[in-house]
Amino acid sequence: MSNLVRRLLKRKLATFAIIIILLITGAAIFAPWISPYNPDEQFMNGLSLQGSPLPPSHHYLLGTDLLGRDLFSRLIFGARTSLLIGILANGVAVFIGTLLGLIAGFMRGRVGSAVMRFTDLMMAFPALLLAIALASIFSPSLFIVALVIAMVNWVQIARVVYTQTISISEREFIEATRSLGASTQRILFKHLLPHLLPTILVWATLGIATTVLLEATLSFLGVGVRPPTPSWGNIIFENQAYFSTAPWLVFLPGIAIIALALSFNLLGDALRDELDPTQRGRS
Amino acid sequence: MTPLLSVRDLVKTFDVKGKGDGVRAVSHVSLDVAPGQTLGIVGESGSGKSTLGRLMLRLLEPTSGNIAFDGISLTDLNVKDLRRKRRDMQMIFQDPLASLDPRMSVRNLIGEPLIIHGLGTKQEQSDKVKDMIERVGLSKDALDRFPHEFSGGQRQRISIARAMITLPKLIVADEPVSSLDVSIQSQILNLMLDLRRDLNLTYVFISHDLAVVQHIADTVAVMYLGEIVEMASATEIFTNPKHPYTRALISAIPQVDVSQRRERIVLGGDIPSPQQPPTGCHFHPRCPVAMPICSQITPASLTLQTLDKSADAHTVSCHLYTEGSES
Repeated sequence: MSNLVRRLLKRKLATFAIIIILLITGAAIFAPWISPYNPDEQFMNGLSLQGSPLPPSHHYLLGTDLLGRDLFSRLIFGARTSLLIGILANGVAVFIGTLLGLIAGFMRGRVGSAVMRFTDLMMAFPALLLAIALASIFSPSLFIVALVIAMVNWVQIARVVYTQTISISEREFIEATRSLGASTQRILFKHLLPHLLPTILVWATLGIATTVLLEATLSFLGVGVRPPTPSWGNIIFENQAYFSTAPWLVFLPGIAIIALALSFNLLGDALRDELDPTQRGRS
Repeated sequence: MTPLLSVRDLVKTFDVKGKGDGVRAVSHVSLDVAPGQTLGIVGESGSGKSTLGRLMLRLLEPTSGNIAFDGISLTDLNVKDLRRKRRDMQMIFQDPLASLDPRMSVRNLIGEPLIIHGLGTKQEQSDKVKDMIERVGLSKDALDRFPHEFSGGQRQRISIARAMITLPKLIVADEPVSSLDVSIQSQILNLMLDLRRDLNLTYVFISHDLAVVQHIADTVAVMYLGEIVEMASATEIFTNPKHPYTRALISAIPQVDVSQRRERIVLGGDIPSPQQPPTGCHFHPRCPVAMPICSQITPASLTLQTLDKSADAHTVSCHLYTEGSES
């Protein structure tokens, strides 16, 4: 394992991505110590005389938001929510999608059809509507929001894993392994899964961005993370009315989301290459 | 001698959507393979030889018929027992690059059968893998590399090591040298011959290349459209072929020595679709010596008298001959 980390660190982009991820994670963990202000506090001098947000200054490093709160502090605390949602919701979605796709693709026949028809049904149903419905049934907490997002997001992964599983299980080395007397379990986890890993990694890392944004949408609609708890998504939505006069309020959290998503993407790409013996060491 | 593998009346039909009866890939095949012998199965593409090979190991489920292997009925085994039995019967595939998992190191590939069947301790497994890699003519340095880093011939050596590490009794080799260079082909064939002697193996060797089969096989079965049309010892088949199809195949083997060159029998057309096989003898539309009866009545399998009484029976399915006639 340490060998893998060492090989990853030889790649510039992967190293860059790891640094960004560590920075964001660090910010999330140590938020109370590094944020200059309480993220929920509305400052008397936090708004201009006309009542609009303040631009970045030495006092408020990244300016203030529509309610006169310090944006920098909110971004740091928002990392907690966004990271948790991004990893938890996406992780659960990837797990469910992979499991169902793998089973359906490997068993095919009636089980496969049943699973995939259910997936199609979920796909046809508007994801947002479903998320809103689910979120309004359960009282919104961070974990519920994460699970709701997972319930909506596993569908695409299941589809992709399903087709990939079918294509890989048709390859000759799977038949060859079966001819050795290998059990289904062994074929699934020792031979199929490693070949699915690149696909899963790409979807898992791409999913982080969409998950963070879906959380933002849910927050905006009032069924996501409850205000005043900041998340990068709801900072954008809260402040979008000030887009023309105080663009940093939308751009800065947007950049944070992109940085998070992109870093995971780059790390995922590097991991995929390093885990493939035919690609190892090439960048 | 009791045969190691005994196949009786084996049929495999593949369902085709929208077509009532489906495709009959293997049709009423019966044959025996004695321990220590090599059975060569030859035929054109589409003759059903690969399907037959896979049926013998029950990698495909037969539609009907029986397979007895090593004294037990393979067709009656449940999934679990069948899986356990696989350590005694292994397969070598045509394309080693496709049949070796590209994400596994050579060490793991060769050792995998030992892990699957729980043979030996970790140390013993590791020793066996090292022993085997040298036996197939590769160095121990190869163990930590991956299949794509080797040439075709080396990859096939890895496949062979993997198939033989559990010391099986039967190996079904499906065109094991067809994807290789001619110069490499003979190396691999000789390796297989050496291993057969050293490990006391029995081979079923599937190939479309008669020259290769001549080199390795003791008995040869000629397949056409899912049926065995002629079967006899290798010497008998190559010196005294009976079926017009076998004659045509043998006439196509290139000969270096001009004085040895035979008249080339060229067959017209392609192998017919197994979905709508010709009536009577399946070979009659392409047969240079077809008679009126050939398109009407399916010829039965006849046993011919061989000059050498000790040799295996010479069977042929053709209207040109009658039961017991001198071969």
